[in-house]
Amino acid sequence: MDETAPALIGSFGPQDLAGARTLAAALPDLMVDARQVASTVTAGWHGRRRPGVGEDFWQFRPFLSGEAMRMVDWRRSARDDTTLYVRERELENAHTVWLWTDLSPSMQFRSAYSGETKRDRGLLLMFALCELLARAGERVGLIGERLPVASRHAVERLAQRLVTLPQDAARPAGDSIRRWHDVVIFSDFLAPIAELEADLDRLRAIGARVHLIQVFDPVEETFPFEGRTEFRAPEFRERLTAGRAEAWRQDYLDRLAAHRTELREVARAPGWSFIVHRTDRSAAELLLSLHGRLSAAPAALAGGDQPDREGDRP
Amino acid sequence: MIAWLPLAFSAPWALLGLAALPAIWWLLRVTPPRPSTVVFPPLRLLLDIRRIDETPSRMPWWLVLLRLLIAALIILAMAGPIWRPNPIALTGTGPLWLVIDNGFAAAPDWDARKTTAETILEAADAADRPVVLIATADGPQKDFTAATAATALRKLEAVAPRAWFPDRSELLPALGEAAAVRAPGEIAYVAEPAGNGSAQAWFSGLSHLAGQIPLLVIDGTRPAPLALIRVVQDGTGVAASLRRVSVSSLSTGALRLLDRKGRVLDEKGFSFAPGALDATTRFDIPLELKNDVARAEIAGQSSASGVQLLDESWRRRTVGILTGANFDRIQPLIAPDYFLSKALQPFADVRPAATQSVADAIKAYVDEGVAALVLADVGKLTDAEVAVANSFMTDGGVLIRFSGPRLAAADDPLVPVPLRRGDRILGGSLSWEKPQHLGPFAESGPFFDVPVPDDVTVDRQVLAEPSLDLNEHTWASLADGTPLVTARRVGAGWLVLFHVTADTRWSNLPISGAFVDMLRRAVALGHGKAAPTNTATKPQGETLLPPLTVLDGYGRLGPAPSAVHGLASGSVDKTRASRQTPPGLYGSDDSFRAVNLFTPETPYVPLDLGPIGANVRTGQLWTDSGAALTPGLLAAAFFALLVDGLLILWLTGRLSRRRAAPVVTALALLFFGLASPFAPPAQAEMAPADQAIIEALAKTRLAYVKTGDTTIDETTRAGLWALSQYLASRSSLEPGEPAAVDPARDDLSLYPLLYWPIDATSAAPSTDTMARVEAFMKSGGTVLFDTRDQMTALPGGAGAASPEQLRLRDMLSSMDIPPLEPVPADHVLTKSFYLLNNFPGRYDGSPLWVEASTAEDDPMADGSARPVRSGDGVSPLIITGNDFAGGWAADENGSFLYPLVPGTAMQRDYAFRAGVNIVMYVLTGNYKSDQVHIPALLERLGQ
Repeated sequence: MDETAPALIGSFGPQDLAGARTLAAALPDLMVDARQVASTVTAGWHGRRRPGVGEDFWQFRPFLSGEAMRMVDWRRSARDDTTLYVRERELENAHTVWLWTDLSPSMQFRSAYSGETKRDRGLLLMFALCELLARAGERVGLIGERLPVASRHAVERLAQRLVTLPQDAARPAGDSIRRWHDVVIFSDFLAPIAELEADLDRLRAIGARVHLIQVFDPVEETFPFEGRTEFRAPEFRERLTAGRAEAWRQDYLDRLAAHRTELREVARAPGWSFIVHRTDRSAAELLLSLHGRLSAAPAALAGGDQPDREGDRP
Repeated sequence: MIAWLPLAFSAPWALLGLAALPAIWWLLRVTPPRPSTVVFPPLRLLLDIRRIDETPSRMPWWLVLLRLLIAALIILAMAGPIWRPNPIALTGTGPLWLVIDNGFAAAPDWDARKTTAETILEAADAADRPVVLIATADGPQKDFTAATAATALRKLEAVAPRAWFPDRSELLPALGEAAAVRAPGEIAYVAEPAGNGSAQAWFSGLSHLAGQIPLLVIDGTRPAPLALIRVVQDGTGVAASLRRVSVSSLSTGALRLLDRKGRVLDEKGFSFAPGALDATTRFDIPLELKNDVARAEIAGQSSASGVQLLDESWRRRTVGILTGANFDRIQPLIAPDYFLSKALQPFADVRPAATQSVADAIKAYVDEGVAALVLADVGKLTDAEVAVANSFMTDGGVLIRFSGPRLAAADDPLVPVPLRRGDRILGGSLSWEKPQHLGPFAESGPFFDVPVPDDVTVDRQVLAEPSLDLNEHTWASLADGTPLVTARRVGAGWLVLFHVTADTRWSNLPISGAFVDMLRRAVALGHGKAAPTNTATKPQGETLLPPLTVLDGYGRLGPAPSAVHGLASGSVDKTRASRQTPPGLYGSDDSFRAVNLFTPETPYVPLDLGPIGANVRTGQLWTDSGAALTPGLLAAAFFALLVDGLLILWLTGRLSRRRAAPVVTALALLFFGLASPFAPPAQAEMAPADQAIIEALAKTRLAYVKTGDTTIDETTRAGLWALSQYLASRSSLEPGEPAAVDPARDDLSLYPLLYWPIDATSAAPSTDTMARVEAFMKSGGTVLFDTRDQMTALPGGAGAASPEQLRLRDMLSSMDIPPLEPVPADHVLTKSFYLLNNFPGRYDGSPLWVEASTAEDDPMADGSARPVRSGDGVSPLIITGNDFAGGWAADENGSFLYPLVPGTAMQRDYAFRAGVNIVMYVLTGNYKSDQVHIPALLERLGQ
């Protein structure tokens, strides 16, 4: 395999079994990597920073009359003569995040400039995010599942669920998604936009927040081809032969920009975001950015599409 | 065949394929190169872009050119091009007669002639024409019926140049018969450049045979070979005559004389004068060598014409001398045989008489085969002796008699002319005649060209009885006409009488130069009788000489073919070289006669093609049958294809520069490897390693093994350095700087002694290293292992081994170690320089272990007191624990680095003495043990 030629790693087309195997084989490694990535991000996260129903200690406050006596923290109160104290815990409102990674053949692409396929990078990001959320006690689910779970082992569950999915599974409708839920989709979004638009419109109507992460190979981003080149797509049989590929570059970049603009338009809603991620960049970088968005205060989210402006190029 | 280019095609129709080149060019132009295929997921986006630049990219012009070249090369190769093809084409139909001259004149360029003939035969084979092969020198008994060209090719293999003039005329009747059976369709004649002038009839006959059919005459371009026509010995030297065919022939060359084993005795240049056809050259070779000359040849000319074989008749004669009386022995320096020997030795082998008895001596000489027999004043001969002498002369011997008092007194029948009894005294006291000078030599005799000396006087002589034929028998006479030398032919030999004595009593002729010349000419007339052979004798009594070795056309001697006849011994001189009697040696191995191709009378003229007629095409010889270019063209096409493949890879971007480099390099190597199989030999240079070896060998050095521990290594170096200083001051050995070696890498064989301090903490040497050390020890080196543990090791057996001892055991476990013993008191180590009882180093007490001298080594080890063990060879390894190097170690100022334990007064000195003894033992081996035996040896010698 020549190193200047972008190449396909993995499989596409009818080789379902082989594809499933590569997926299953990749998952454990990805889970380990995801935990490492997640641990680098966790350090900077401090919960909801509000008193509420939760497990972690938040603060002591003076007892207000009218409260139930069982709220009093006697141990603390005994150290003070006059005041009774109440132990408050940090609010842990279980947030629900729905995740999805596109497993279509076009995602199983890796060029010589990148270390892993887009699918692996998408899965890595998804697992890392899942790990983060699970540690935070959020409820995490794969789109299409009936109930999200709040479990330390959410990643394993997610992985098991992925393995049992049929190969080439389309993104399910997500009937369980409700208002305030977050939906994170990792994909290259190269499929026709119309299908995506219908889905997003429905989610917007429900009131969920959607974060689209477009995972791109550097080759797809820069189009470094020269000379007489025949382009083939992994998903369909059509081919394109460019006599001088370098002449196509600018047109392609323009077309790609237009496509992104379209996507961004489709995903334009308060609190929504559209992020482009290249597989030759660090996964932690994107995860940090994504996590920031997910943990943003609802008030801030209500303020408009600010993340969208700053975050389309992590 | 192309007119201006020596190129022909075996399948010229394939060249029509070249017409397809424009079509190929067009096809190549419109077919774009194969694109590189990439998988590109966002293809949908690309598909949305309007189609741009849809014209297919064209192939680069140079790639088109390359592919056209490949196509052209293959087409050309298919056409079967031949470089320098056969320039002669056959024209006629029907049987082809190929006449090829294979006389000696064809030998120098026989290969070309044979190739030419083969080419003609191949052409006939291709045309499927029957062939008659006629080799002119092989005679008419060959089969002249037409056969296939393949058969003729096989026959041609047997045709080789012969060493005689082809007798072509005897071919004509046979050829006429063959032509009557089946007329030739074409005659091709490969002619040789020279002959003996007898070719006229042949050519006219051939022309007559040919009639109207095509006749192709192929002539060589090389001139006819030179001929060596005569080699004679003229007393002081060897004269050779040469002849050439035309003035345009080679005019200079070298002539060499060889002995029977083919060793060159002398070589001399010759040159023809401009315009001259004959040349001579002379050899002045030592007399001792002259007899050995068996062959003269023109150097570098591979033809029988340049060879003269020399037989016994040419050689120095052997001469026997008989004198009359014992009196001659008393004063040998004035005896007749002394003068005769002196006169004969320059040109003849003088044999001393076997016995004093005249009869026996004559018989012995005759049996020995002398060429001439000199009887100096031998008086009365018995009848038996006369009969022997007569038969000797009849067989070709020369009997030379000198007169004297006895002859004058005897009535001897064995004289050429009748003699008067008594002698004539000139100038005596009773004579008034003055001593006579010599008169002119007889024109008919062999002395005619000897200059007449004017200082020779004759005092006495015997007189011939006057007779009518006296003058015929007189070779030399005195000034007054009385005969001085008379001769008579007896059979094949001569009877010669000198009318004076062989000493100076009667004349001073024996001390004049003319005497030598006269004797030489007289002796040259005779030749020894051929040794009896067991062959059948002819009715006339002549011996039949079987062929011994015969010359081939190249002038090489070889066994005679069965067709060669024997020669009658009497007819050898008249024999001319022919098919039945080729030049060569006839007779037996120790007595033979030579038949030579050329004599001075042999004509040698260029071949005149004139009489052959006008209906002739002529051609030239050619040496090669053309070089087929097809393989080369196909190879070139193959390489061009490889290059094309590389270019395609490069064009489609699959060939990065990094990957291309090795491929291109390999391709270039392959190409140049095939193109130039003979790379110039690598320049021999002195490698740095060689320089190091030379430096290591310039001086004897003590060597030590680097352990890797700098303290130990420095101690060892300082110790060996101090020992070297000690050796230089106390002995004649002045070692160089100690050498540090790594037994794993360095060449150990450069050092006689290897000091190896054992360090248990450093890495153990590998098995390979120990194998090298073992090889070093087996090849004569000695390793001194020093465990340096005398202080630390517990005294006792194996259970208490120190780490160093364990390491040493480890190291030696893989080696073939001889049994060891502590140095016995009578070991040569104790005496090799100093007399020592023990070998202390830094420590004292550890025994010095050496190879045990077994009883087998010492056959005299019977318990008797011998001063030294035989010590044959040097112990390959010596082991101590005394830390020698530590004891010796000193810095440049001479102050010792380590204190000694226990440190007695003399311990340091003894340590050095031990080192000196060890070095001396290693360097001298058992020499020292032999030294102690010297008194006993001298005593045994009786002094």
